[in-house]
Amino acid sequence: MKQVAPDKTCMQFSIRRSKLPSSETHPEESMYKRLGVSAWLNHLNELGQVEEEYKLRKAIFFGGIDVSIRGEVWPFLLRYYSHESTSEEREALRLQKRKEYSEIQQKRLSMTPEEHRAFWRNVQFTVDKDVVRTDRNNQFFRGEDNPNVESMRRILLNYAVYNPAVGYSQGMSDLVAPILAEVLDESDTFWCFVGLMQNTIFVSSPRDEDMEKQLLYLRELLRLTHVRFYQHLVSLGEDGLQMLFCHRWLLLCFKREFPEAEALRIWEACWAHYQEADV
Amino acid sequence: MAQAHRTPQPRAVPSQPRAFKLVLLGSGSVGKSSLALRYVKNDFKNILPTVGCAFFTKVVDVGTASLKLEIWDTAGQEKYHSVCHLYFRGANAALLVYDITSKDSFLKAQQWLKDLEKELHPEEVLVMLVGNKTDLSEEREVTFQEGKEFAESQKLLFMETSAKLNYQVSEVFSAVAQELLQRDDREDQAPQEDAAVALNEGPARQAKCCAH
Repeated sequence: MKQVAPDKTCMQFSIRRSKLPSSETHPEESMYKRLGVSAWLNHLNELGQVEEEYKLRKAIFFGGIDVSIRGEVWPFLLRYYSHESTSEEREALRLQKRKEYSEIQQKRLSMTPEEHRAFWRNVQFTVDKDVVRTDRNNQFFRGEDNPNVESMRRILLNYAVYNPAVGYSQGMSDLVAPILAEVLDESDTFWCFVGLMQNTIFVSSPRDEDMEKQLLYLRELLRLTHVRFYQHLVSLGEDGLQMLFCHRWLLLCFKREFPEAEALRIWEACWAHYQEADV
Repeated sequence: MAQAHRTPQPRAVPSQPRAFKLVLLGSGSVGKSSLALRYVKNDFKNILPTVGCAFFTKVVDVGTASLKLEIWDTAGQEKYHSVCHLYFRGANAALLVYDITSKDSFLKAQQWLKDLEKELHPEEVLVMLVGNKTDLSEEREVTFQEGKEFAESQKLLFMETSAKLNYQVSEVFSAVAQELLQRDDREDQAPQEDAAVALNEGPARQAKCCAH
C-alpha cells in the first residue's frame, strides 16, 4: 500500500531504487548532467539561437534542467519560442504576444451579460473554486489574496476564451501552476500553457478516443511486460482493465503521483520529445 | 472481455468482512473528497480538485458485524460525467453530496440522481442525500427542510454534515453501512429464485449482480 504524504491528500509513489543497475538503464543515461546555466549558454550562438536543437533535447531528456534556468528553457520546450529564434526576435515576440494576450482578456471582460452568465456557469464557477486549492503547499501560491493565484485564475479564464472548445477541465490548474511558478510572467505563462495543452489529452474531453488510445497502449504494454499484473487486472473483470486508477496519471502526467521535483523532471523529459517517432 | 459484474464479497470467509462499493456524487467543490478524507483519515485540509478517480477503503463495525466500504471519489465537473457509467457500475450505495451554501449544487444533486437512476435500478443502490458545509450556515441557501423534503420525496436517506468541523460525517457512513447490512441480510433470507446459483451453492447475494 502506498502512503499518503503528510502534506498531500493523495497517495504518492516513493522511488525505491534511485540507482538502477547499468544493465537496466539507457547506455547514455549517465553521460548527461543536469543542464545548468553554462551548459545552456553553450547551446546558444551569439545571436541567442539554439544551435543544435536535437542535442539540447537529448541533454534535457537525460539530465533535466536546473531549477535556476527552467523559466528560461521551458518556453522553448513548450513551443512558445522556436529554437531558431534570436534573442532579439524573442523579445519582439513577447511584446506581440503580450498584446494578443491582453486582447483575449479584453474579449473576456467585454462579454454581454448573457455570454457572461454562460461563461460563469461553464468555466468561471469551477476555475474560481479550483485555483484557490491548487498547489497551496508551494510557497508561490500560499496565503490569502495571493496575486499569483489571481494570475493563475486569469490565465485559465483567458484560455477558455482563447480556446472555447476546450474551455476548462478540472486538472488544468495543476498543469498551469508549475509553469507560472517558473516562468513568472503572466502572458508568457499563458502562451507556454497554450503550447503545453496541445500536447495533452485535455484538448479533447477527459474521456474519448485520446484517453482510450492511451489506455490501450498502456494495456498492451502491461500485457507484454507485466504479465502477472495484467492477468490480475483481467481477473478483476471489466473494471480492472478500465484502469480508472491511472486516468489521472495520463491527464496530469504524474503530477500528483510523485513529489513535485520528480514530477517536473518527468515533465521535462516528456517535453523534450527525445526518441519519439514524430515530433 | 471478462464478466464484469461486481458483487459484494461472498461471506464464505468469515475473517473477511463483506465489501460494498460506495460512490460519492455531486458537483465540484461541494466536499466529496473532504467527506471521504474526514471519514477515512479523520483529517481536513485543502484538497486539490479530484481528477480521475480516487479510492479509499474502510472497515466499519456495525454492532457485531463488520463490512468493508470501498469508497470511490470522482471529479465533480460535468465534463467528467462521461466516465460515470464506469464509476456507477456495481455500486451498492451512493452519497449524493451538495453544498448547503449553494442552491445550484442542490439542483445538480437532483440531476445526479436522475443520471444514477439511468445507470442503476433505484432498488439496487442505496442513496443518501448529504448537505455538507453546515459550518457555513450563515451563507446557507438550502434549508434543512428543503433537503429533507426532497430526500423523502425520492425515498433517500438524508443528513447534513460538516467535513470541516467533523459534524455527522461518521454518522453518514455508519447509517449507510447499517442499512446495507440490513438489506443484505434481508436478501439472504429471501428464497433463492435462481437455480444456477442454488446449484453452485453460492451466496444468494451473487445472484443479484449489478444493474444491467
